[in-house]
Amino acid sequence: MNPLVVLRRPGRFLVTFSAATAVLLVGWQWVSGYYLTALVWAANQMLALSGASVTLRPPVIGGEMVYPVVAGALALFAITPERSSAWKMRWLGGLLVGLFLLHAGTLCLDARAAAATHGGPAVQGDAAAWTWATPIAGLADLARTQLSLALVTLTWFLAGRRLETD
Amino acid sequence: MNLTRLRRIGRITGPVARRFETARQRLGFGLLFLAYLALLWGTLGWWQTWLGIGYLYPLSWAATRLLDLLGVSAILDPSLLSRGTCTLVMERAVFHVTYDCAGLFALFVYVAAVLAHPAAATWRAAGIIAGAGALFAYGVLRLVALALVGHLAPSWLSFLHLYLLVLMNVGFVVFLWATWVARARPASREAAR
Repeated sequence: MNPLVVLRRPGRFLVTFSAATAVLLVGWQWVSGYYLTALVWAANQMLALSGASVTLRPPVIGGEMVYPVVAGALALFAITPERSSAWKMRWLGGLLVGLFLLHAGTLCLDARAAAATHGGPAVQGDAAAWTWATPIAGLADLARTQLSLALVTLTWFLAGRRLETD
Repeated sequence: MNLTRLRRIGRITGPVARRFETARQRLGFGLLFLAYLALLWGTLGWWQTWLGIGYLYPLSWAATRLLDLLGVSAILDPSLLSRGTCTLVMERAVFHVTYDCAGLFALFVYVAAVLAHPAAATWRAAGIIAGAGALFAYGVLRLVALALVGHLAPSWLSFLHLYLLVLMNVGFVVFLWATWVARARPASREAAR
């Protein structure tokens, strides 16, 4: 028998994961706006620390959902069987911090790139920081989405590795 | 340095040795996974044409045939295949099927995880072949499901396409990998321990 146990019933896990993700996504619609606000704040702190003169302002997102991968991460760890609450909290906490930093970091990079492309405050003739609205279309950017999904799966792969005797 | 050797040294024993070993294995797996994933992503441009012919087009074609069987008229336009897109024209919607839609990046994650896992080479090869087949079938069904929803309940299309089915990729990759790990024979070095 393979000493490494990941999931005893992967099929059941897949079904449960699908259901949990669908439910959590419905809830995420109400929360994702706050998440984006927090992200923009963090990205602005990063921009200020790096000495960039550009700042971000959160857009009006209406009914659109942003960063649904967070709901997926919650579902993935919440429904993982045979693991303690402490295990789930530890790994999920680390993953959420990682995702938040990744998202804020990519927003920060986007802002710097936009400032470089469109011109900074000097070009605009504005002494104050140049304000740039976060593009929602950019949030669905292929690389950013895939990086987030890769981070979630990698974290789960790492967390899920344990020996039969553990 | 394995668990037995650590115990023999005598300085680190019992649960501490086990934890150290687990952490070392996790680190190795994580680094290998990232390296393989970066390699696959980084070299995509080189074999994109072949992927279009060997993966994207057959997947779109299979979905079109399946939709026809289900009574939904669909026409496949591969004229943009060289740009990594197949167009699926239906009565009420037009789908631009890209590598992302076809689950190619989910396949990359799965392949990287299989390669990073310490298993015998034959089991790795078998895992990649079987997993690619499963992800292909999943990609076809996913596309058909999207097309059916677009045909029958278009208001749900965004929710499924942009959110739920994207996350389902994660669940399916985890499912595949866990299934494979449970069956995979360890590499000879691991088995000898």
